[in-house]
Amino acid sequence: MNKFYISVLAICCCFGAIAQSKKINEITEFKLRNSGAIMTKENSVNGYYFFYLIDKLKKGEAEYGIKILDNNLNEVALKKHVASKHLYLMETKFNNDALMFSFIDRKEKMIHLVGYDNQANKLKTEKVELSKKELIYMAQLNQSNDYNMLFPVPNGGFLLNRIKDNRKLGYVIDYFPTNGGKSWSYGSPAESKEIIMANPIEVNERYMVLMEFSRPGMLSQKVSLTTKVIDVVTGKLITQIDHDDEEPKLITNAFLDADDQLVLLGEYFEAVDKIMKAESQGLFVQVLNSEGTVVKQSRSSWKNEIAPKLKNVIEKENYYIYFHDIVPTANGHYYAIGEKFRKTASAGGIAMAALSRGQSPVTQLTITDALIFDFDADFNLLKVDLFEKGTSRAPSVSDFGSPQLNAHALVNLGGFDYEYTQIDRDNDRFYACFTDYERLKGEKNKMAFKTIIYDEGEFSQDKIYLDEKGKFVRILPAKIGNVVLLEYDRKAKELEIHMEKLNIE
Amino acid sequence: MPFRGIAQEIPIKYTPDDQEALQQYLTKITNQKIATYQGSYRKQAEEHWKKRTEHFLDKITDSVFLFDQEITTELQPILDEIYTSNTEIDPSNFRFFINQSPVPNAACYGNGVFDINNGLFSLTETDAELAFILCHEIAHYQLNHVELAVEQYFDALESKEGKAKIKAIYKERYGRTTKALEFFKDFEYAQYETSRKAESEADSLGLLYFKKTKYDGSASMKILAKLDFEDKAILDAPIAIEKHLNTQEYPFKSAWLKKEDNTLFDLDEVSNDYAFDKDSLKTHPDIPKRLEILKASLNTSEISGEAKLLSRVKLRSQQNSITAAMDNNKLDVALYFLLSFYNSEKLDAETYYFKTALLLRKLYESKKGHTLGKHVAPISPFSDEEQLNAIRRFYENIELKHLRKLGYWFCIENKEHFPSEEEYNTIFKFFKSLNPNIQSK
Repeated sequence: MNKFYISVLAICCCFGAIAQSKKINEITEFKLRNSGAIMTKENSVNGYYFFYLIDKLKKGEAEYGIKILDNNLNEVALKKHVASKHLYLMETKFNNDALMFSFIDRKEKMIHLVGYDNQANKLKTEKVELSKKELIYMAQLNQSNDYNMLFPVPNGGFLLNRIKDNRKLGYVIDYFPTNGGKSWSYGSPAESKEIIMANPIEVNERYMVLMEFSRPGMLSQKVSLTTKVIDVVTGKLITQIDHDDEEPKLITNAFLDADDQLVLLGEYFEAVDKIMKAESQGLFVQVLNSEGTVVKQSRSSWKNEIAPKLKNVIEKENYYIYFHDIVPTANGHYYAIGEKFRKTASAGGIAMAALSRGQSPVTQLTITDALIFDFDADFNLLKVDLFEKGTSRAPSVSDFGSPQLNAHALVNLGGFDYEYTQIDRDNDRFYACFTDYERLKGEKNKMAFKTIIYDEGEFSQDKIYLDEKGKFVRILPAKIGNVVLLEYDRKAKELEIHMEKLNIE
Repeated sequence: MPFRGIAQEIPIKYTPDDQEALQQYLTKITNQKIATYQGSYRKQAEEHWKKRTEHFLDKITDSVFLFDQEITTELQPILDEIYTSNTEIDPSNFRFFINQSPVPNAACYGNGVFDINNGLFSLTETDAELAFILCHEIAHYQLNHVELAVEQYFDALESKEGKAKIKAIYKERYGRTTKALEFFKDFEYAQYETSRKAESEADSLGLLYFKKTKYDGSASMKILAKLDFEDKAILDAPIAIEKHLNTQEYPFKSAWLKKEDNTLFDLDEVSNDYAFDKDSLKTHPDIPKRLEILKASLNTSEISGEAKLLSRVKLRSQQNSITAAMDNNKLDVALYFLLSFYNSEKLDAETYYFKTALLLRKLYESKKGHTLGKHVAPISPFSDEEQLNAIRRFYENIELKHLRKLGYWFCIENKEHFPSEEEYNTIFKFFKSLNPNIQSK
């Protein structure tokens, strides 16, 4: 029962500032370890978590508190969790049925999965042992933006993606049901002579789609890609698609459509090209049924299909485009969201290279406007919309390799202005969000959070300035079509948190 | 009787005309509290009463109070009746402030300051009902309840024993927060227990004061029963938003009231492993228990009281509810009052249409500037305030592209109800500029 706070006909006391009450407040203050948003695969937010250290306990244990807010910023739970004092929170996911936290105990070398059912009651904690090597690799992977450890299976359970120290490095996907069913594990062969990593790229109630990358050694530029479709209930491999040298592809997006057909989207390369080195030839879409049979595929080449249509939009030719996301809409179209960039020399980079005896890259990537490509259902490019954005620069990750490869590496380091895209399937909308450094005539340049919104077949934009009137604003993702603003008033030294809807005008 | 807001509207004052006199009054009563302090914590007591005065002044700066001479004047005869019937009460240090909160409540600060929430006027129906509440608050003052609570606080935290306990907790190496929370829990339970006892005492003494007035004693039970919000919303008057914000050219869309179905948990209240016992944290005994005690002390039959003075206060208060909510950008509460008053024919058409059009413009500007969430609370999964939640859902669901059209057609189709051409044009021009492609009829 929650309503306006009411104490019917009261005496009014306030004891905020007396010395002893300050002291007791200081003791009872929980220490925040980390916090974040509980994201869905559409980049919407189910809620927010705050992980606190509450107390040190005897025998190497600690008491933690997990505060959970719903997607409207209401506190819905504060749960106690006693465990090792070496616990580190990795990820939090929600599967419509249960909420799951993945932790790593660095001392005991163990993964803990701590879940809560829909009544916020704690589920049985699952523990998975790791070797020292596995622990180190998982900690390293966690620093990268493209590693996900935990995947929700809608209304079923959770998948844990972990490194396995086989003959060479491999992977294991463990399934932990939260709604009945059996647990299972699927992984790379223990005796494999290649390093094999995996990333589940799409999971629904029936299937998990796994992208497997294998290469002979750590420094090898020969990468083989395999897409695997696995029955999420049994853990059995249903089909696999090898993306061999005849048709090299870099798959950037994948999803299961309403008919459980697998839609793969990305860039394609010439036969015998090495993805790590070569420049891509264009974009492709491939649709496969659950047996792995290709039912449809289309390509759009940079040279023949895309470049002619870009002439009206981009004047200079030495630009590349990095695609961050490809979004399907209800009319069967695909919208590819990208940023324009080019490789330029950087004076700072040259100086750094001199200081580091040539180990630092001297080039940088200059990132400019946002672009949205409209492809029809057969992947014919219909239109390109350009959205002006200020120029920003990021150091090139390496002077070698293609600009596109550098761009891929830069994405993992958060170097582009692109933030995320939210997909609102109910309203057939999407929101592509960027940070923009606006260069304004006659006034100070401003940082802005810019959103390009697709609604009813049209684009509009919304903008929130991040630094104005003595306030410093940070944006956090929120539920679909919204953002959370953290507004810090420098003078008053006050932080205001509020959720706002992104505007469609 | 609907109130004609526009013609009679006087802007609300959030600061008093006699600011200097108010400052002098607060200084005088604060100094008196410090000078007459009899306990063992003189330094802390001085600090406490000074901080309390600062806090009160901050509330005035934050526009928490309404300085409405009309309401103050209308209330005075009710207060005079209480004072003349109870000569043991010395009201020379008393001052009653009107808090703009829509929650029906009143409070005694212990130094002669009282506040009455604006929302209380919409709940009370007779002079007698309001008089009983005033008697209850005055009883708190007469029984020194605030001083006793403050002293209990000092005993727990500032005494030698209390300090030693806190120091010992502070030195703990393991489980320090848990021990501090335990200590804090014991302290809180004791405070709330005292508070519940104080409320019962204030009911009893308040009733004695009240029975000596000319008012019908049964009013005490009626108003107390109305203050039982355990199982009902506070702002529960129907608003019929789909009906009142519907226009022929741009009909109200059911999607604007669509409920979210994405919740992490299915809970009736916050699942808090650190929560204290709810019953032990009640500041007041349950209303049914308080009613039983009152009933035993009353012999009168139930007679409806008169609303001689209160009727004028209620009208004024209604107008203030809307204006204060609009002034403070509490646009959810503002629309609730506009719709609920108009729906129940307590508000004339001129005021309703003009103020609602103004509100739609303000809503547009807040959404456009990404500031709405600063002033309008999000929908809570535990809230019983269904009418208010419907408004919040509407604010959340309606897109700017819909709002500009709704504002435009709301103005055009209700032009005849606006108080004047000038007021119509002020708002219509705003929506017209947002809809250059609509050809008005």
